[in-house]
Formats: sequence, structure tokens, C-alpha cells
Amino acid sequence: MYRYILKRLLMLIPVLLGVAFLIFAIMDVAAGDPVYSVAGADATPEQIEALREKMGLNGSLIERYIRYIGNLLKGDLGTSYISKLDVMKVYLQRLPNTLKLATLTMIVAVGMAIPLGITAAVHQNSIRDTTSMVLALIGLSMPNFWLGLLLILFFSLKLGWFPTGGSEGFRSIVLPAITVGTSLAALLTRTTRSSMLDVLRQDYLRTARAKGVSERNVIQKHALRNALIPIITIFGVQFSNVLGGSVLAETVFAWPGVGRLVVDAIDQRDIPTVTGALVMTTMLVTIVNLLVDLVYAFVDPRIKAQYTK
Amino acid sequence: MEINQTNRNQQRATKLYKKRSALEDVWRQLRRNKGAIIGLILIVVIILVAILSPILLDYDKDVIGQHIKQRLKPPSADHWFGTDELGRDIFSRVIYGARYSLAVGVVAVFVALAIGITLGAAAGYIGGKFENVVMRICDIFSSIPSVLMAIAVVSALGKSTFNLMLAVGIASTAPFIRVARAAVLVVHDEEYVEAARAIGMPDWKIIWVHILPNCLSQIIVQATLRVGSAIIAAAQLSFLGLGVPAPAPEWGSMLSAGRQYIRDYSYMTLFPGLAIMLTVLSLNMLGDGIRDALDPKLKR
Amino acid sequence: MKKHTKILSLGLCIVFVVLSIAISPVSAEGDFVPSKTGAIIQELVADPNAVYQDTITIGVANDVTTLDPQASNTDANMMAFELTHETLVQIDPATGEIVPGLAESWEVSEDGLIFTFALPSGVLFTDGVTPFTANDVKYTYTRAKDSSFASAKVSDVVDINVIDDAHIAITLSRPNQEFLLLMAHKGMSILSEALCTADETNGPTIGTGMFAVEEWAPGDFISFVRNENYRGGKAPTRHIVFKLFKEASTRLIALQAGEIDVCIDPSTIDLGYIQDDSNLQLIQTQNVVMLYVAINTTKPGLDNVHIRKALAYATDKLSMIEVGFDGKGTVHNNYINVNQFGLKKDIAVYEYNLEKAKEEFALSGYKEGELTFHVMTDKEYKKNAALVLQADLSEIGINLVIDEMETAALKSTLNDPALNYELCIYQWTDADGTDFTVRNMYGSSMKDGVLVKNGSNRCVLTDATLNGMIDAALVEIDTSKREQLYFAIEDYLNEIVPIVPICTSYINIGIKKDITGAVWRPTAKHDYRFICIPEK
Repeated sequence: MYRYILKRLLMLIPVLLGVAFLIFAIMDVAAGDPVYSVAGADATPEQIEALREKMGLNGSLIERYIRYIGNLLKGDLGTSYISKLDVMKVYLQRLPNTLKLATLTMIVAVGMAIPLGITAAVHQNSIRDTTSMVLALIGLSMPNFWLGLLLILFFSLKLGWFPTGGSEGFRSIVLPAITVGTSLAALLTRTTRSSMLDVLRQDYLRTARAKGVSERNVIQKHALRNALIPIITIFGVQFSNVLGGSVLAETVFAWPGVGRLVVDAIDQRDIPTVTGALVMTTMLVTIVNLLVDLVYAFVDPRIKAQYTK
Repeated sequence: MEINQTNRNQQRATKLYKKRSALEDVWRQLRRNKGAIIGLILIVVIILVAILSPILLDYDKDVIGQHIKQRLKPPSADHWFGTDELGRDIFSRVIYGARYSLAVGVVAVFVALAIGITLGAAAGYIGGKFENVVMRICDIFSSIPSVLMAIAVVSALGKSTFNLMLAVGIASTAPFIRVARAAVLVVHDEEYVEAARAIGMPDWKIIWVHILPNCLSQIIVQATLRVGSAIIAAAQLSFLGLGVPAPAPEWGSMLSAGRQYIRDYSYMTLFPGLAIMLTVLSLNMLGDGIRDALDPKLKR
Repeated sequence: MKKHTKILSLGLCIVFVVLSIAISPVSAEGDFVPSKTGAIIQELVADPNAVYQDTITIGVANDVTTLDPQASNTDANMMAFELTHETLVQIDPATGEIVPGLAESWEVSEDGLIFTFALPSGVLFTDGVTPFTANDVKYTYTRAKDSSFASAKVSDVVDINVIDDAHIAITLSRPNQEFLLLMAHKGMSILSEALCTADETNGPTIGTGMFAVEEWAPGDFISFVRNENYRGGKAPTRHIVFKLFKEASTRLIALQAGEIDVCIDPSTIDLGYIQDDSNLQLIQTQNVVMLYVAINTTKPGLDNVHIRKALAYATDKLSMIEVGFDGKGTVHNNYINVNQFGLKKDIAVYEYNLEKAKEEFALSGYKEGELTFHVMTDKEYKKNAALVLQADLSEIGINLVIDEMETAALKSTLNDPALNYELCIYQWTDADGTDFTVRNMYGSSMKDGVLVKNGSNRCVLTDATLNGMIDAALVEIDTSKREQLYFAIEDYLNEIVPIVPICTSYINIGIKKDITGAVWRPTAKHDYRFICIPEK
């Protein structure tokens, strides 16, 4: 097991190096030399050159990349071109907001999806099933920023229940969480339904029923636990999408998270912030995926056995 | 020689027959699925609208024509969906916008397909170090949230319709690499593939003729479902101001423009959003249907 | 020597009297009448026993991007420096006169070349320990020479002589009539030599102002805490927070919900909500910031004056105001900003007329459909203005492609020596010195025997005749002659059409009814030092 974790952690290294290089290369192609937007209108050529050196923009792409990786290993993501602040510090300032949003999003999604999915599976082909599935399809098809706008329109402007944005306490996180959570909920509902259907057909459930275990118990104790495995997988895979989806929600709801940090930094051509935030976010996604895999192994003894070999 | 020729013809004939019957089978399955048929009808209507809109509407007059005095008028008999901040008719713009969204969605998926299948199939077939490198690249791509990836690519390449397609395409390549590789691995050691290899068929031809057709169904399902998410991704980028340049009536940028008028002119945000939802919904319904029809395991 | 200061201030007084006559009071729809500089001053009556709300939160549209006064010149940053730093002199918002800032008084030599400032003693920087001395002024101005943002302001400074701890003499290369105005710019905020040399990043963020930075979360908020030891008495409010809301509608809703006390720049379409809300007040004054179409006069097609005139005739300014500001704006036909000295009221106007535009186009020798220009825009209202221009230009046979860009990318394209742009919808915010405006917007300087455009010269004019006119106006001491010289400059520009001025709009601010003490400036650089809500 430890060897497996170690192996996965080691595999993280080339991925992160690759991410850093990819972002580096992309931002290098980006239109507009960042020096000029930082330098201001009256800069002389000498000032420009001095600034270029100060900003670490001298040298070839590879040279800069190697320099960057060297600093990264020391936990140094560089300083923002614009605010001159330490990128790591700014990132860590934003991260809790994004994690808060992601957590609530997941809760919202699971809270909506599992009951809907189970109901749909248990009452297969009933009107409840059809309704749940149509709802899930609609949820999947709605662009989340549009949903966000509709939620603002209805719950903030018409009813005045929730603020339209900002980061003031629990009330301002509800709408963004629903916004990001809906499409995830839709996906989870479908997965829950199909994996419940698979499990419900299994022999041991028939046995349990035959033994007189109540239907409620059958579903809660036996079916759900086994149906969880695919659900957890989806969960892990979707974590990166939740972070991505929150970019739009963070913009719509003025939520000061990592997504907006990246979008704003791209606006400002603040390359150290863009690169740093993306590298850190990728690291986070990969670690979460690793955790999911471990949980997965824990839930399913067959997989656990495979790893301990 | 002659025998060989006849044999081949026979083979081809059986193959064709098999294919046709398979297609018919899929169609029969699909027809039974109400959702898929509704989706199919809807998407055909939307495609027709997209194709016919330049005939029905005068782009310069109806779609981008400004009538400053008529600005911000709510829906009425003259303007079914109302007018926007420049007095342009929102109904005409939504109709015409189908061209952009569909084009972006389809081309983006083609980009993803082309890159994904080439890399994925090659990785699965060649294996070894090459496979490892490709799969790590795939990991890299899929661990950066695709929206952020697309944003970065567009801002690097500059804003244009084509770059938008490219960015969305590149950002959705990873799943295709995985599907193609997995499919290749499944059939890699099948007898007919080994036979082809034994008679000295070049690798690319083996992949193209023997391996890819076998994973076609999965690829089709992925592609149909991905067009929908590509449309959403493109709208997201437009919403952030990174999409199709003005004054083109792209749905995402219409939503973005309507945002500051949301308080008093909410219809500006309502209709373009509905259009996106309807298009993606119909694609998803169709995609689900095709998947169920192609993949008997998933049939319920 | 003191006499000279008086003459200068008298001169300035006359300037502003002339100005205030020239500019009729703006028709403000808000609840306050602007001063003659266009500022709305909410006078705070000093009351030592009054108790004030602890924190004032201001919802802003633009983020503070740096805390180093010499590293930027955006309005958002300037408002932060107003709180944290001080300049030697400042401008009285009521009269437009130069009044003491950190310096207690100053003298100007007979020839107008040497400015001697008297500095206070016993002043500490807001770190609470570092004393302020004359050396800090010398350090600040010397540092400014190397700053790409501040160097233009000190370009005439040839010598800085620290006489003693409390006196400093600054020598200029020519008698610059606007030197004190430049020194009042927040970019010239006085820094501490000791703190800056000790810590290059954080040193410049500390000033001698009424507030100090408390916490800064870029992209979210910045909070300031009052300087309890400020020599003129402490500010009424303990904490001031700038909170960023990028969306105008969200920002206003936050004000209505009571989350913030001030909402800068609500969307013009939503102003009714402020007027209808009995807890809120609308502050409105004419914005002096000029919106204009910058024309890169070196690009093929645009180097042709007939094409530029055709552009001017095809610019439908009223429609642009309608779609950009919901009709709340004023057409601008001048080449300098409203309220600036030397603004020629009766300048010849290129009224919106597509027929005349077509005539000019015919004179240019180009054929219809032959020309395609790209116009860069960053904000929504600029994009809308560009869309109006696009429609009109297509009528006269010119294609216009709109390049929507992020502000940073747009700025770097403008500043890049490659000058790879054709048209840009841009704005000129400085409203202090006319010389600074014309020199930067249209002037050029000799470098290695060739004329090189000055920094903010977005039309890339390198016109020796014009430079001569600008230099002549700068050193003219006779006010009315000086004004005539600026009139002539404006007429000259109006003939060559290096830009198409579009309009000025309104500064709109929604505030809670009880707010007082703030100075709302027509340059959008507001002064929050005395902002407060008295507790009842």
C-alpha cells in the first residue's frame, strides 16, 4: 500500500513539471510583452531592459523554465508582476475560499443526486424515474454561468433571499454552490441510478429480500454501499471540473477564489500568478485523485488486495 | 490470384452486409428511444435553422443592424425576444447565433478527435515508452481544469472564432486519447490484427483499417456528448470575453452583454441561455440514445 | 522671493476664475452642487466630541494593483496613495489652488527655476518610528527619475539640494509653469529613504499619510487603518476598506443591502434605484475624463488626413453616449480635458455627417472597401462605442474590426515600441496641467537626432511645429497670452485630427445618506481621508 502511494506521488513529479512547462510555453506565446504593460507609457529602452531582468524575463524559454523549476522546488512561485506580492501567499489566501465553495458544491451535489438517483433506480421506469432523469439531463445541459444568472435574478433580485455576490459568510456561498453543483449533481444522479440498478439485480440482494430483510434496509445497508464505488470515482474525476466550473461561478458571484485569481491574472498578463496558480491547482487535483483512489481501495476489498500484493 | 480476388470481394461483401445490418440495428434501437428521437428532431431543426438563417435574415440589417432609438425594448410583436443595448433584434441574433455555437462545437470536437485518436491509437498500438509519454501528457492535460486550459490557450493565441475552436478542442482532447488507447488495447492482440501484422501491413494501416472501426461506437458516443460540452465551453469563454469577436451574435457573448442589464432587462439573459440549453439538451438526449443503442451492456 | 509665490498663486487664481467663468456649472442630477473645479465636497465640520462609525467600506470597480506610488498611475492606486502617502503640495478641491501638503510653505526664485520648500519637523512615517527628513524628498524625486511612471514629472529637475533637515531646494532646467501641479500628483508621494533601501518591496508602501495599509488581498479587498499620530489630527474613521466588485449591478445591490457604504460607478441604467432608495444618495458630477478614438497616424490609410477627417465626421458621438452611458454624457470636441486651462470653447466642430465623411473619403484617393482598420477596446462601454463606429464606417466603405482585449494586453500593445495598432478607444484622465496633457498626448522629443513620440502620444505624432507651440506655451508667463497659445494648439490639432474626441460622461456614486467628509473629484480620483458616518 505504501509503495503504491509512493509510486503515485513520484508520478506526480513529471506531471507537475509538464504542467509548469505547458503553462510557461502558452503564456510565452501570449500576445503582448508583459514588460510593456508593467513599465508604463514613459519607459525608456534602458528602463525596459532593467525591468525585463528584474521580472526574470531575460533568457530563453528553457532557461527561464529551469530557473522557475529551481525556485518551485524551494516552494517559491515567484512574485506577481502587478502587485509584487508573493504568489504562494496570494494563492494560499484564495485557496480556502475555493475549497469552501468546492466542499459545499460537493455536498449540494451529493445531497441532490443520491436521493434522486436511488428513487429513480428503485422505481425504475416509473414517472418518478423519468422525472429524475429528465431533470438530470436538463442539469447537464445548462451552462452553469447562465444558471448562476438565473439564480441571481430569482433568489437575489426578486426574492432577496441571498446576496448576489461577495464573500460575506454562509449566505453568499449558497447560490454559487448550487450553480457549480447542479451539473455535478446531474451527473451523479445518473451514475447513482445506473450503479444502483446494477447492484439491485445482484443475487445477494435477492437472498436478503428472501430472508425477509425490509426493502428499506436492503437499499440502505446492502445496495447503497456497493453502489458507492462508481459514485466515488466520478467524484474524484469531477473534482477538477468543480474547480473549473467555479471559475465561472466565481466571476458571476464575485467570489474571491483561485479561479478568479487566474482569470484576473490572465487579464493582467501576470504570468507568475497564472503559472503558480495553475501548478498549485493541478497539484491539488492530482492529490485529490490519489486520495479518491485510496478511498476506493478502502471501500472495495478486491482492489485493496490488488495493491497490497 | 483470381481466387484471392474473389475471396476479397466476398469478404468485402460480408463486411458491408454486416455494417449495414449493424447500422440498421442501431437505428431500430434508437427509434424505440423517445428521448433520442426528440433530441434528434430538435437538433435537426436547430441545424436547419443554422443553415437557413442567412437566407431568412439579412445579416447586416437584421442581425447586426443598430437602431439606437429602439434600444432595450422588451419582447413585443415586432421584436419577439426584445432588443439589446444597441437596438438589435434579439430574436434574429439568437437564430443566427446557432451557426456560431454549432460550428464551434463541431469543429472543436473534430480537433479533439483528430489529436486524441492519433495520439491515443498510436500510444495503445506502439506501447512502451511512447505510450508512457503520451499518457503522462494526457494526465497533464486532464489535471488542468479544462476551462482554465482553454482560457490560457485563447489568451495566448488571440481572440478569434478559429482560435476559440482550437482552444476548446485542445482542452477536450484527453478523453479521446483515453478512449482510443483503451479500444486499441482491447483488440491489439486479437488474431486478425496479428494476422495483418504477419502479412506485413504497415502499422498505420492496421490501426486505420482494423483497429479503429472496432472502437468507432465508443468514439461516436463520446463525440456526440462532447459537442454539447464544447458548446458550453465556448459559451463560457465568450462570457468571459474571450470568444467570437463582436458584433457576431454568439450566445455566450450575448449573455455577457446582457449581464449588466439583468435587473431591468432580464429577457436579454433569458433567451440566449435558453438557446444554449436547448441545443445541448437535444445533443445529450441524442447522445444518450446512441450510446444505449450501440452499447447493449448499458441497455436497461 | 516669497512675493513670487504670491504672484504665482494669484496667477493660478486668475486662471481658475477664468476657468470657472468659461465652464458653466454642470447640471448635476444628484443632491450636491459641484465646486468650481467640478468636485463635490462634503464638508466635515470638525467636532472633537463626535463619534464615528468604525469602518467605512467602499465598493470599487477597479482593483488596487500596487502600493508603490511610483509603479503605476491608475486611478484606483492613486486613491490608495491619497490615504497612505503625502505629496509636498496638493490641490484645493474647492478653488483649484495649490496649497501646502507635506511641505509647510515654498518659495520660487525670481527666474522661476528654483523651488525651495520648508518641511515640518517631528513627522514620522506610519511605521511609527522612521522620522521624515529633507533627504527623503531628495531620495523620492531621485528615485522617480528611474520610474517609468513618474520620470516624466521630474524630467525638468536638474538639481536637488538638501539645505538642512527642514529645507530643500529643487532646481529646474526651465521655468515650468506647472511644476507645482506635477508635484501634487500622487505619483510624487514622498517615500522614506531608510525604509525603501531596507526593503525594496514594502518600503515604498509606507508614507506619512493619515492611514496605513492594514491588509491587502489583491482581487478582493484592501483595508487601511488610521494613523493615530497624524500631525494634523487623526482621521474620523478608524478603518477604510476598498472592496472589489467587478460587476456594476452586484456592487449596487451590495450597497442597497447595506454590505458597503459607498458604491463607486453604479451602472447608469441602475441610477434610479439609488434615487428611489430613501437610505441612499446619488453623487453626480461631470467627469472630466475624455473618451477618444486614438488614431495611429503612421499606419497606411490613417496617415491620410482625409481619412482621419472622414473618421471624425463618421463618429456618431450622441449614439455612443446613448449606448455607452445611457445618454448621460456630454459630447466632447476639444483636444484637452474639460476644466483644463486653454480649452477652446468655440473650436470648429466635426459634426456627425456621413455625407461629409464620404466627401472626405473621396478626397483621400482610396476606394470603397479597400481599407480595413482594427480598433482595440477593453471595457464594455468602449466596445459599444466601437460597434457604433463600425456600423457608420461600413456606410462610407471602411471596414472596422473590433479587437476586444484585456486592459493589460491593450496597454502593452499601446506601450510596445512596435506600435502595432491602428485605432483604439481610449481615455485621457489627467486634468491638471494643460502642458502635461498636450505634451504627453501629442508631443515628441528629440532623441539621437530623430523625433520620438512621448509616452502617452497614442496618435504617434512627431510634429516639430507642434512641439514648438507646446514649448512656447509652457514658458509664457502672461496668462491670457498663454491661453491664446493653447487655443492655437487646439486649432492646429483640429486641422490634423490625430484623435477623434468623443465625450465626457458623469461620475456617479451611490452613498449611504449619512456619509460625509469625502471629496468626490471629477477626475474619479476621490479623496476619502475624511470620509465618515457620524453616529447618532
